[in-house]
Amino acid sequence: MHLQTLPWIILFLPLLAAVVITLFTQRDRKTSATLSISAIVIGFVLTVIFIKANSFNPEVKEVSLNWLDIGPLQAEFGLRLDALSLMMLLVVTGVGSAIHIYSWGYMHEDRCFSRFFASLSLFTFSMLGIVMANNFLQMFISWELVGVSSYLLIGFWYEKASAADAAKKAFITNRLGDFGFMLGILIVWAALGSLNFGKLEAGLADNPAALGSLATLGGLLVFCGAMGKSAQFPLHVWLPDAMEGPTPVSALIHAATMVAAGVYMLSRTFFIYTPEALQVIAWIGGCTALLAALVAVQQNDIKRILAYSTLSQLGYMVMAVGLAAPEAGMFHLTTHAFFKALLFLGAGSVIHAMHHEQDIWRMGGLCKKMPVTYWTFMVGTMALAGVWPLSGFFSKDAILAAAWHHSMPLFIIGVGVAALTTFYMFRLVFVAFLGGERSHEVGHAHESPWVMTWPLRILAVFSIVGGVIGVEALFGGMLHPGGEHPHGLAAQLVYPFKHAPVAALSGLAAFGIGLFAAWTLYARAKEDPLPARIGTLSRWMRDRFYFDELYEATVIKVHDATAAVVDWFDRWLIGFAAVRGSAGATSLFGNVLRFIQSGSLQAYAFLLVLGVAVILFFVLGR
Amino acid sequence: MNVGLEHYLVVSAVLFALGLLGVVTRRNILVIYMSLELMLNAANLALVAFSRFNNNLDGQVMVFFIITVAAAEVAVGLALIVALYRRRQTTHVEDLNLLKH
Amino acid sequence: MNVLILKHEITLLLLALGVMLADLWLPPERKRGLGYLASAGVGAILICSLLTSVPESPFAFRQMYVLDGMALFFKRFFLVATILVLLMAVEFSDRIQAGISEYYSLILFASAGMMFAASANDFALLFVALELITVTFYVLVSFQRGRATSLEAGVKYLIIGALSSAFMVFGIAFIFGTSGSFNFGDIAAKLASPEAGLVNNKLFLFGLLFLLVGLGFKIAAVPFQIWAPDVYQGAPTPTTAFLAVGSKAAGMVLLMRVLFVAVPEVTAQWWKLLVVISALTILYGNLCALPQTNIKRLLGYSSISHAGYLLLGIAAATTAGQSAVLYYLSGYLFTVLAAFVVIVLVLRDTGAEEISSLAGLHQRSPLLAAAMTISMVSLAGIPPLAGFFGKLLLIKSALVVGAEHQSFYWLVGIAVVGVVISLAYYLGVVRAIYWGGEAAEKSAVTLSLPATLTVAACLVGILFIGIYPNPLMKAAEAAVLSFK
Repeated sequence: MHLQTLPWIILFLPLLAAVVITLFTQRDRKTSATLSISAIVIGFVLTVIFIKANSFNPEVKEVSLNWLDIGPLQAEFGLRLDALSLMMLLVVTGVGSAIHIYSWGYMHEDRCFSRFFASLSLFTFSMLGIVMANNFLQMFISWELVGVSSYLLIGFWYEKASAADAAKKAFITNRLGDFGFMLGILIVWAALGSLNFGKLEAGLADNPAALGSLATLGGLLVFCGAMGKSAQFPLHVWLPDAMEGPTPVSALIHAATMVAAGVYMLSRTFFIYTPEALQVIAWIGGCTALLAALVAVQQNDIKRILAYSTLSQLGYMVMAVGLAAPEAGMFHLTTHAFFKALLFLGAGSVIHAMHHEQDIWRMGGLCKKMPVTYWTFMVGTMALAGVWPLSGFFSKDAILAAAWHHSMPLFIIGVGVAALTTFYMFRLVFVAFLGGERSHEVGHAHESPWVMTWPLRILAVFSIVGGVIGVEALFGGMLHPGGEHPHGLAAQLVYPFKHAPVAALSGLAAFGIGLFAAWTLYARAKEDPLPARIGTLSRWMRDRFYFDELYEATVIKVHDATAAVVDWFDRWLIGFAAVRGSAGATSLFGNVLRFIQSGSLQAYAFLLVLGVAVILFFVLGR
Repeated sequence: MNVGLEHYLVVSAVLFALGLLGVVTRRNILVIYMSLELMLNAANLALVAFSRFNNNLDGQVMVFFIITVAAAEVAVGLALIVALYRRRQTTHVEDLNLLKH
Repeated sequence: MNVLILKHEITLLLLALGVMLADLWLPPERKRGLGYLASAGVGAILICSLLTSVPESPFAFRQMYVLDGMALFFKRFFLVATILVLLMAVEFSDRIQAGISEYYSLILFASAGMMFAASANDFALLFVALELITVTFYVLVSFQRGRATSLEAGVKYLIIGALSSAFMVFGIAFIFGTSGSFNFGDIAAKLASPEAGLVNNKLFLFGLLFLLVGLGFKIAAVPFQIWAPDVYQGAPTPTTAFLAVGSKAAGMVLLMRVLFVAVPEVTAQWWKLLVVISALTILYGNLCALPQTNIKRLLGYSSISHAGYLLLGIAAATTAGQSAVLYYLSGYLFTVLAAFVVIVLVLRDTGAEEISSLAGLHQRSPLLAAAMTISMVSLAGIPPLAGFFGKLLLIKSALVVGAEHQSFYWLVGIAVVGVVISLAYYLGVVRAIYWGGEAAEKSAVTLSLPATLTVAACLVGILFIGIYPNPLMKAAEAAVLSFK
């Protein structure tokens, strides 16, 4: 059994749900939510069935239809089904299901409940489109759809000016990267004449020089797309602002799916990057990881801490791809999807209980009020910090090992970031969950309903075991066939220490240092001690190294000035003279012409006869 | 004088032209409708003449089709004109002026 | 002769008679539902036609009737249109005072006429099929006898229609007289042999031009377009919809058969005439549509402009051009019917047909607002909808011919200008829906299940043809290549 139709169903169910909700069930909240949730849950179940039937390595790797062929222009619409996409499919539908269910509880009181689920389903459809695309064109279309639907979701509370601005910022920053992506696709198409990933890979394997002198440039342009979506420095500015969206959206977009799309795309197109391009990619990833981790240390908003932590982890993944270890990047992506979704949903649970208070210095002592949220959040934190044997340890270790083999400076950065990660996450836990109550809202806080806590529990389980269920072997087998990989639970548990002991031990050491620092500084702190100790540096961190201000002063100023000039041209020369003028002339013409239609039957008959006479004269008379 | 094909065709063309003139100049819808029938009969005459001079009976069969269709058309057309008269008390084309421009 | 070759037409006529007879026994309150029965019957015939393939000997009645791929394509087209129009008529039935069952059966008779037109291979059958359509439409247009506008539209259609049939019959007489036959195949054979000298016979060409008057009237091409806006505005809405889709397509299939099967040599001579008519039709329809305020009248003018685009493919006279015409018509079918279904459903209570009365529709029914928007956007030809692809294919086929005849570049230029002009009035309708101020009536539009399904079917059609055009493109190409 190949079950080739299942992937199509998985792909189109969410779209169907979105359309039906928009057109038919806007007024019926319950049906809307049920439709949207069942679309993704069924998608998840079908994915599992498909993988059970075909394993992760189906015989038929592509199913496609000829979408269009007019002469030389041929475009196909197809799905690629291999270990990479199937694993990603599992992550997106699995984590997505948990988030959809959670949203029912979180958004319950919102006025536009149906619109929320419609956008959520549209987003899921576009994301699945990216994951399963078998060619650049289709991936690009889905890529843009993800941009649109994330715009709708981030700006969901569009009455709030900050949310509307954040949505715009996310969209525009992404478009900037996408422009590069499109140019990259055009270069690849021009040089190789195909957009299909399988054909491209085979073509490049036959003739590595096929891309010629444009190889590095083309690769870096394609990487631009990933820079936008995965929020890499210097296009990272949109991600923290995007936290203005509802928290389930933050979990969906900024943990498991949208930001992962960039890393996924890099792994999918890994074959086109030259060593020089990989060098650039690795360093951009490393810088992003370090910068974001530093900023996270001094944030006070619970969601912003998580946002910067996401940025920094994405930096890791991109760095892994740059270090020629995309399987490590994808491994980290998978485990990160579990624990970061868990952390975001936990944060959402806290925010929900605290009546939309997000400042960690106004929380404290929540561990007694919200036990489930507390222990699941703790699991997520430990997984993120890389405690053996939780999932984060293994995936982070794979990246550190790759760095150890390839580049010493990046390895040091990686270990430093690991220590910082532990530090800021435990700062968050100590301040928000332990200690005394810092505001009276904490007194009213209570545990969230079951639709919210059960997704937390399930994600917590995966955060614990995600590292040892064979994800790495899967990606490794796919991207580097023939390599040796551990099998069996016990072998997997100790594999990092055998394979690259320095990396594994320094990872653990980083955890110890981070935890110790956080304990001494924050375990009993009433307020943040860091600003007093490191002064200016702390202010820079808190103000995010002034990137927004820098862009405000340079890029946006120049842009505004250009826009003003162009606006003048458009308004007066094109808009007034050309468009208004010709529009006026056209409608005048139309107004005159319609009076031919006088309504008089006799005139009609006469005009018809006249028309016949004129035609007769011109065709036969001469 | 020997009556040939061209004579029939000339008569047919004159009939057609007369009908056309009637359609364009007369004001009463019934008269216009009669003129239209005249035009159809002009075509019938031409068909019969061609049929006779080409030694091909197909044309005469076609005439039967045309007569039948014309009968149906007249039945519908007259009913329509009567309905119009009942509603508007007129059969003059100038009074049909609700739909224009 | 194999009578079964006519099975679709025969069953359709039996169905029409059955609906008429059922009227005698059914109590008045159940007559409305007869429309569902009729459309189910047509659906069965559609399924039967989908299972039919071109027979080995496709001719019947001494080659008067032909069932080739082209005929089959158009038969399916007409059956789909009939189903949707019948469903629309059920929703419209409260506004017809008496005789709703006759309305249904007249739609079926007109549809049978179109089916015969699709298969006509002879001027006699062409005439009879066309008259069956036209005479039925005289009644359908004036069916709301209580409304003065409906009657006026009927009389106008009657007089102009009869006038153009008179021209056509006169033309057929001369074609017969000079070529000695009514049959398309015989005439083509005679044209091809140089000793007969038919290509330069003025009387023959004169007859052919008169025949084209009748076909030009059907498809509403300049200068025979004059009736269209008045009749579209005055007729009952389902009739208008059927007129826009069915009647026009019947004219197109006959035009293609005459021009490319019967007289291909003359068509090759007359490309300039076709180019000029196409350009004028596009411009006239689009320019006059700009200032309109009545939605049905607007669609009347828009249908003229679409006839112009279709003629563009005919003027190109290539396989690509002809299959583009088939593709365009199929997209047009769903798009226009979607618009008319919305008009029937929304303006049911008020009876007004002004564009402004659509204001605030998105609050009253998101589905109908979306359907109207998608329909307008597709008519304007914006990707990724059906209308865009049709225009793209037509223009592409014209550009290919442009390498040979420079005037096609001008025609393409005019077509593009026409698209730009049309954006203004199509998007004007969309603006009226979403930004037209508050709705005069706030209540939600209640939709019956069949009505919802009809709208959904039209939407799926528009989107499917637009997003995944390949199957239809291949089918259209196969139909054109099977021309016999």
